[in-house]
Amino acid sequence: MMLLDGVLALLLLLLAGRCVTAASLLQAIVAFIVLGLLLALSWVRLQAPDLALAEAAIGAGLLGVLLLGTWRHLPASGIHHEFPWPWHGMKQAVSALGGLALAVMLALALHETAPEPAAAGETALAQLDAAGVKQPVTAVLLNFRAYDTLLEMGVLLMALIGALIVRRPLQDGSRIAPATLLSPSLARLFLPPILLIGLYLVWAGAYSPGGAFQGGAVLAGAGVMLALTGLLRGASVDGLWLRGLLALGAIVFTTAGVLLVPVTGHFMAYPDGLVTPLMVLIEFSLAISIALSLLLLFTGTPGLARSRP
Amino acid sequence: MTLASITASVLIVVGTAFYIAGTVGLLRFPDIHSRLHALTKADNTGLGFLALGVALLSGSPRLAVLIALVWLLALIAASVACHLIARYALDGTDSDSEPRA
Amino acid sequence: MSGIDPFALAAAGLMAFGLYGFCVCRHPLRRLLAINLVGNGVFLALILIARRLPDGPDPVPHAMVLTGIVIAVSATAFGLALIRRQARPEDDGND
Repeated sequence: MMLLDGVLALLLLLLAGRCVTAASLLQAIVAFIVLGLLLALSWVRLQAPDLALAEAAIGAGLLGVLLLGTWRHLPASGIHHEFPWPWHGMKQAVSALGGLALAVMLALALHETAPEPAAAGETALAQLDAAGVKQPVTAVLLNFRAYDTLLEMGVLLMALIGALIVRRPLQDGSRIAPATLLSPSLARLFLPPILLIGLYLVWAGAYSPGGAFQGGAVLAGAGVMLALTGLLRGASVDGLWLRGLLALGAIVFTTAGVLLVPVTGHFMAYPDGLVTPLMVLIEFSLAISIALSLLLLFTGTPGLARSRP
Repeated sequence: MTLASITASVLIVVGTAFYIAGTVGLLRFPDIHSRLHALTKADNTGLGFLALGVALLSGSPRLAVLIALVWLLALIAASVACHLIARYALDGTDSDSEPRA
Repeated sequence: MSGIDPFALAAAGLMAFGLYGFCVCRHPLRRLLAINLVGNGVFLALILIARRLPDGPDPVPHAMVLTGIVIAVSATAFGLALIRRQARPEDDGND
């Protein structure tokens, strides 16, 4: 399997180089998307199936759609062809030397550094029984380092708010027109299995690779598919229910943390009997908020509406 | 080496050969429609062989059903994607590498 | 240097290419891609370090990288919105 790892690493490097030096912007974007897919494969090889799922759904899937969507709306005049090879000028040469130095240092650091006792990781693995979920990564995300996850939800919401402020709202009715009758009907056919897979991934996070982020990304993907086929469109008005669902993850997470302070004495500490149902509740509410945030980042609108055929 | 694992290996090798043929087609064929033709047909067949081989290797009916489901979904998705690309190419906005202004 | 991990080289290379691209490319979208390359290099390095725990991979870096992937995507989406606005300041939304 060493050969497979070597080929994967080589392809990652080639694609990264292609992404930087490609003449046209579209080539660079495509190289980046393929890099994301290969990175997902690398996570599998590095025993990180959680990351593989997240990378495939978020890193390669949703990010690719976002990048291509932006590329499509750039004016053609703004995209000049670039050939940034190191021998094209002083700046390029210096940057290349800097990059090379960084690479050598990092490779040496990764190779030479003596294995240190990873206290946090060992503690997490040892305390797994108290976490209420069997999957170590989910336990770290939702319980041991819950602050990180709560604030991550906050960052996601802030990015969405920022993007919505920067982008002017779409006018109602503007959407990508369906090129064919085939895609809306097939989108309807695909919707139930995708929703099922997304919900399963959220649920599975308690005991196997999966979780709120992976499942939420798959659910967002279902929404993107509906938006692309014209069944769902961005609307400039937002209902209260939509805002509520966007904030649901953060609200449930915080409320659960605060309400149990009298019982446990600590913010975001959960009593033994309640921990598993709480974890599942938090996970599902997070997944809903994540899915909606990612979908609205794609449509660029504060609201959503069903299209009338 | 049992009979099942030998059969599975043969199936996987055949599937990979289909993939290589499809990729060669993608690289060598002149226009977008023949490229799509090579890619989707060869790759879908290749994926079928691969899925069959892996299902044989897995040795459990539950996994085999799941793999069959994956194959079916990938098949439908590939066909739709192919159809959409061909449709887009037919609309005159062919494989230009820059967006329409 | 026998037994060097190919993924360690890939992590170093990703960061190097990202840094180079960020310095050299002029188009903002390319710079955004370059930052993401650096991020992916960091993620790879973290996961490589996570493998050093004797009993199973260390879940803490895994969770951090998972957080990082989501943060990177949301920051990139915000950057893309900025790029769209910058490219077409007069755009009143008919897209």
